[in-house]
Amino acid sequence: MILLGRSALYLAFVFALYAVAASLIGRARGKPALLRSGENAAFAVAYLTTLAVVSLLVLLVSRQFQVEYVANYTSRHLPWYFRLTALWAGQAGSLLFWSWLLTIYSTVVLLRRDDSVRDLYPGVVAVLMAVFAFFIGLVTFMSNPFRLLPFTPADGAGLNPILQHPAMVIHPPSLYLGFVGMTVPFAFAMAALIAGQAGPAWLKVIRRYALFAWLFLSLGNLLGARWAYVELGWGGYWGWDPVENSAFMPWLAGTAFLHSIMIQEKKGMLKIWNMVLITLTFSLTILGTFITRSGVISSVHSFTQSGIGPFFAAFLGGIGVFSFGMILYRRPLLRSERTLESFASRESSFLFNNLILLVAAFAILTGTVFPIISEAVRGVKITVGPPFFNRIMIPIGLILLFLTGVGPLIAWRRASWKNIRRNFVVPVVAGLAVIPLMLAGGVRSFYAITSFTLSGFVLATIVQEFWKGVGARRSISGLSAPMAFFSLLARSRRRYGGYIVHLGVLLVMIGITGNAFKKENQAVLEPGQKFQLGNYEMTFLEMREQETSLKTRVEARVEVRQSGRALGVMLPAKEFHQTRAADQPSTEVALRSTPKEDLYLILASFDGETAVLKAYINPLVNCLWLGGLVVMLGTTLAAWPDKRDKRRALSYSFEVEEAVA
Amino acid sequence: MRRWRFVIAFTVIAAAMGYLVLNGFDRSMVYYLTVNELLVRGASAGENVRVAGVVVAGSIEKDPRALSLRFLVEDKTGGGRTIPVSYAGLVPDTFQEKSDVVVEGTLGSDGVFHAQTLMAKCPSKYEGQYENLEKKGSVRAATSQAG
Repeated sequence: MILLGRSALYLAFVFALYAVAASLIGRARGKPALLRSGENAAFAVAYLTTLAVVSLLVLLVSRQFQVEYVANYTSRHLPWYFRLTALWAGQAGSLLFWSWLLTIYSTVVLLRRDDSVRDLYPGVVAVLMAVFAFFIGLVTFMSNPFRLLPFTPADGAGLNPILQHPAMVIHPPSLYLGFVGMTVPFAFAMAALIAGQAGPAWLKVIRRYALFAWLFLSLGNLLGARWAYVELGWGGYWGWDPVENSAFMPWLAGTAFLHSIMIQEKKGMLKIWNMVLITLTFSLTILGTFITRSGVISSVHSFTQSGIGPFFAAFLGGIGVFSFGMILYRRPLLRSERTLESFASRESSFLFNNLILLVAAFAILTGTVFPIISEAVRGVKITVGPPFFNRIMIPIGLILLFLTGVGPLIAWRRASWKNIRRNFVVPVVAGLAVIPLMLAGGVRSFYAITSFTLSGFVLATIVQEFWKGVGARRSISGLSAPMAFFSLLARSRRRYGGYIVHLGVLLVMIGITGNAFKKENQAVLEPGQKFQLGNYEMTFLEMREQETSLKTRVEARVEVRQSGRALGVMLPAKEFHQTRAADQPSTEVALRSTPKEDLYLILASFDGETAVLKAYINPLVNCLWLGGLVVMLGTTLAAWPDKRDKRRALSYSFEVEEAVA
Repeated sequence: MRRWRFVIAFTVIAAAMGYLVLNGFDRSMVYYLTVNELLVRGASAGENVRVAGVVVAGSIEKDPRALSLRFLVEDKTGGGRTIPVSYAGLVPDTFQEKSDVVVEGTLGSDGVFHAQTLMAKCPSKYEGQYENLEKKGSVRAATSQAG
């Protein structure tokens, strides 16, 4: 198995290089046979990488502890599913996993070949395989999961108990599907530049890939937050640490890209901008992979020590030089077909949305990599913490929320007063109506009031759009209102899918705003004593200990009442895993979740019969999770394949005009 | 409308955003030092610094009832000199003897480091087993208390 895995890695590396060379030379010399051979090499690479992945999985499952990677991330008693998911628990395995996903994407791309962009494929294969060669090269030569230990340990180190959670099983693959997926649009963009075909054709092909990647980036971020919330036990879900930031930045850039390609598709503008955006998005996914896999930022002076750091830096530099070089070289082809006419236009509002999203990504990037930069420049690491990110991201989030309402409704080219009145009177009134409600409800936080006002505005724009759409469908088809609603969704998936995504984002923003009303309290309690938080009253009953073969669980039984009404017993606990060092506990949160708020209870520590409890009230957190689901639903709808796709391809420009109108 | 008006408008907006970022930066910058670096450099009164080191074995004094903690940190490269740290708050699950820790806080005039934030990474059996995701956990556990 070890030999098989290793040979597969070497061969995959060689074949990938061959695929790059064959595609480029075949294109330059116009030799179809060579091009076909390049594509076949890409298929072979997919096969070989799969072989390597399967080999590693077999080693993990069959507990071959003489393999360093297996010893580091699994142990005898780890259940089989966690042994499988240990594939992406460490650097070597996850880089292999990354490469493998890329080969799956490239296989899909080649199998779903679109002949309308026939000339792009050599470039696509070359770029995909070049990226693959970089990663598999790292796996093969720098961070090989098949490396052996000089001895065979009796047992492995095991998987950290905090990672043994369902969300952690799907969070990394989901994030990686998103990260890796952004390579496909990047490859098509570069192929379009290589082939000198900067028209809208490539956008049409990549739209669905980009949405797919974006969907999984969103899911990955959401699952990460969910995992942090239920598993880490500090009362929140987002701490602006480098690992979170590195998943969030490509999401921001990708969001900007998905918006601005609409402008190019419909108006032939922003061509250079889109090339820049997809390059940034792709680079941020590479950077994100590096940050999550190397731990470079959180440790002092580790950049120079991290073996793979310089390679990533060089790779990112190479991507930058290549793509900006290509953009400059093809500049004549990327000239805009129109110019902006007015600030009050859809084009401007999209451009503005792009600008804000990029500023957000840039701010987070600066805050995240500043330690590395300052170390390189001044020899000292300087960091910025969550206060920095919060100070910047709250206003940016509010501006984006506002634009979420404006963008889809404002007229193209130049909005007339009539257009503005027709589309915005109701939403503005709805938004403003929120303010007295908030004040009457005792809300005084400026940001919270602004956020809810904007939320009211955006919600009204979305409802209004559905209202108009359903009305129009009914008058055309005579359907009942619910049927007209579904018919609307089915017929204009892109448009209404987009609105549903916006609705989800709105819910997420409301959930985040809930943080403004967060409350916490902690107490040292003897059995029978109680403490208060908000209108909750918590009585500590007793400590209880449970032992199983794998772990000891120490839990506090806490009786909870809300305004006198009994809610039952909550059981915050600490668990001590036998496979780990005995003094490393893992905190098990007790959570009581309602649509209005979560009561979040932690056993901070205990001493004999005394318990130290910490409680949080987290208002509206469920809006966040629900919003995330709505975003995914909307994205799926917007990306769902259409039976009319073939017809649509023929009358593409016509359909676009229809969707715009 | 002419192109330059847009260029100016977007430049102004970008500049305003840039200012927001830089200003936020200025106000939340913190030096990130090793224990030995802090011992050499010192820290002015009230200056927030972030320090990385290793928990000295046998130095942890816990008072579970008060949720407070005292321990010594030494440099990862050794050197024998230590800094006493006091901390009150939730302790990350990964905190234990010989953990790699990062503390953020102020150095008191008495030489005790008063940490508002404590992050920890557990010691590993094998070289190369530093698992980023583990750290991710502790980092978040700690950052919450800062925020």
